[in-house]
Amino acid sequence: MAVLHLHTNTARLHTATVEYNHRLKPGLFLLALLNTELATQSLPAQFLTIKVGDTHSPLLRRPFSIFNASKIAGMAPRVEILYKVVGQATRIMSHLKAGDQVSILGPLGKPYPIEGVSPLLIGGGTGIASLHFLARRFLDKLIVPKILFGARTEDELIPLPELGRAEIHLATEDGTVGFAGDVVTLAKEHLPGAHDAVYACGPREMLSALKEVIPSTPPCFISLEETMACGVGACLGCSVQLADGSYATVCRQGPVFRIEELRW
Amino acid sequence: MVTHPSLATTVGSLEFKNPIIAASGTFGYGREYEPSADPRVFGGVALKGTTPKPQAGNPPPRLVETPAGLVNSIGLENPGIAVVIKEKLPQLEDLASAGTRIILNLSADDDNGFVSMAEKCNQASPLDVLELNLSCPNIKAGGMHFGTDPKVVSKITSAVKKATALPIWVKLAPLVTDITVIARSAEDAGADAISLVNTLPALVVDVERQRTVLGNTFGGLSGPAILPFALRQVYMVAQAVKIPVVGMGGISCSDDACAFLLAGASAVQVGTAIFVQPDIAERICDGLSQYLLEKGYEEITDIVGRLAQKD
Ligand SMILES: Cc1cc2nc3c(=O)[nH]c(=O)nc-3n(C[C@H](O)[C@H](O)[C@H](O)COP(=O)(O)OP(=O)(O)OC[C@H]3O[C@@H](n4cnc5c(N)ncnc54)[C@H](O)[C@@H]3O)c2cc1C
Ligand SMILES: Cc1cc2nc3c(=O)[nH]c(=O)nc-3n(C[C@H](O)[C@H](O)[C@H](O)COP(=O)(O)O)c2cc1C
Ligand code: FES
Repeated sequence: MAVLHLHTNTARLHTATVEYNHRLKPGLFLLALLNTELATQSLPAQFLTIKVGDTHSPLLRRPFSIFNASKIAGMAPRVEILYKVVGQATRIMSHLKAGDQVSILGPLGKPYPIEGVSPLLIGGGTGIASLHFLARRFLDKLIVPKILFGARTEDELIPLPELGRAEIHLATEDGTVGFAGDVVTLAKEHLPGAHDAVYACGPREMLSALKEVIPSTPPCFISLEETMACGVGACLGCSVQLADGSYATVCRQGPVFRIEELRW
Repeated sequence: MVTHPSLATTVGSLEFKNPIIAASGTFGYGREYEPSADPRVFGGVALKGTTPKPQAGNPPPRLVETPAGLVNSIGLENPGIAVVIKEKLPQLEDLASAGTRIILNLSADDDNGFVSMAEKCNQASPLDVLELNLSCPNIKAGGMHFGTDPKVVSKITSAVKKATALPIWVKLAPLVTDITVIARSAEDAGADAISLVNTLPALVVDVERQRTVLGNTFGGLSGPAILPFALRQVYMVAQAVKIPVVGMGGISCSDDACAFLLAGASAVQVGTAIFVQPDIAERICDGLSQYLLEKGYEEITDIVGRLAQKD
């Protein structure tokens, strides 16, 4: 079930130190956490959960995709999280400062299989986080991914300075920058191309629209989000329904699925 | 002076190396949290609610956070008793060797369902306790009404008791007119212990979209929000029955666990707090040891039920 490839579970409870918490745009932040194990072991599409604050409110850990993990000689090993302020926990996170300590569980979930030499990456909103990490890994292998990145308006587009060598096409629904329209409509123009793997992450509506236009080949891998409690497959709270009617956990069996595996 | 207080406790004739048990439905089949957290730290592990046949569970969303609480409607998704006995229990040998007790939580639509599962469990290993979930508020067909009717509680308990030699814990729904009546009917029917509380029936509304949040409409509330109510129910039951009580509901630190022990629980279960701190068992055990040292007790059992003794 889900994407079949071998993956060793390296999740641990970590205490990580905040290196920085940059405000990229209003309500949009990049949080860097110093931790050697997380930086070394995290793979694209994996996520971690953060215990925000030390009170009962917010209660549960919050899940975030890994935007980047780097262990570069001479630099502190870190993982980065790109997050949007949408509620209580993310609001509290926006006040984190360099030197603060946070409790992290991760890396969690199964990564994207890295396949093909001409990948097409389709991201919507903060869904770009896991694709950013994936694009970095392709670039490390000297493979240049094509990235289609959409948002409602220019204000919601996330700067991607580290993907300079990738081929990036932007789409905004209000036409303020790039292609005027949603990213799936833009994807229709690129899909017949010579891509040998498609990766997508974004809001559920974007992914279900993509399902309508995607051909059966090349393989299309999507990464999902669901409300989570445990993050490890213990509570069965994050289940999504598969095409055969059964359920699979997004946190453990996912978050990556083949697009045709799901019931839409 | 006390230097090494003992956390060992007993629930009936069964010994536990410490009084902290993972609550059913929050710790999967015992292995999911590895390698982040070691299940062998727990005194016992209650496995996910298991039914006679495989069950798919409720439509998503299945979870929503509420103030200091969590509302869930998992709908008892599980692979069924046969798979649990054949595939899940055998994976727990090292827990058993480490002295962590294995508790299998059972759920069924009627007494026959409970009996057929209990019979199958007679050959199962490792397995120390059957916990009968007479309180799952999620299943429309039954669940709630078992735990609210003393006659039904009695019928199921005595039928299961006849079918197995394993200790039976009857797990009660918290929201009943008089919890002591239900607890006594389980005791009279042969229960070895009472465990409580299960989640409280709950509803969460999405005001913006003008509909209920959970896919299955209703859910069960757990977490710190329910602690004072759970504690009251545990205290009432501990006064009313002679068999041991296993208390739970919102425990998230050693003081919370301590409160349940003082109220008369011989052991406690921790559920929602595991999601927040997977290493919670270790933290609570450390805190309890510290408490015993400070107060000069040699054993955790010395504090069980002290609240009533002071009345
Ligand atoms: C695997 C995974 C990866 C994620 N990666 C990212 C990421 O890289 N960047 C990012 O900004 N967000 C990401 N999210 C979503 C993020 O977890 C939520 O935005 C966050 O939990 C909201 O917490 P809050 O307390 O601020 O908001 P809440 O008050 O809890 O909720 C505010 C709003 O956010 C919605 N929401 C709450 N929890 C989730 C959730 N788990 N998934 C989707 N929507 C939710 C609620 O329905 C509500 O409308 C991810 C979620 C998952 C499951
Ligand atoms: C996600 C979830 C699933 C649960 N599943 C079960 C179950 O299968 N059987 C059962 O008897 N109780 C189940 N419970 C109830 C817990 O075992 C426990 O009684 C309750 O959550 C109160 O404890 P807590 O506040 O520490 O979580 C579940 C609770 C949660 C949160
Ligand atoms: S969040 Fe608990 S199973 Fe996925």
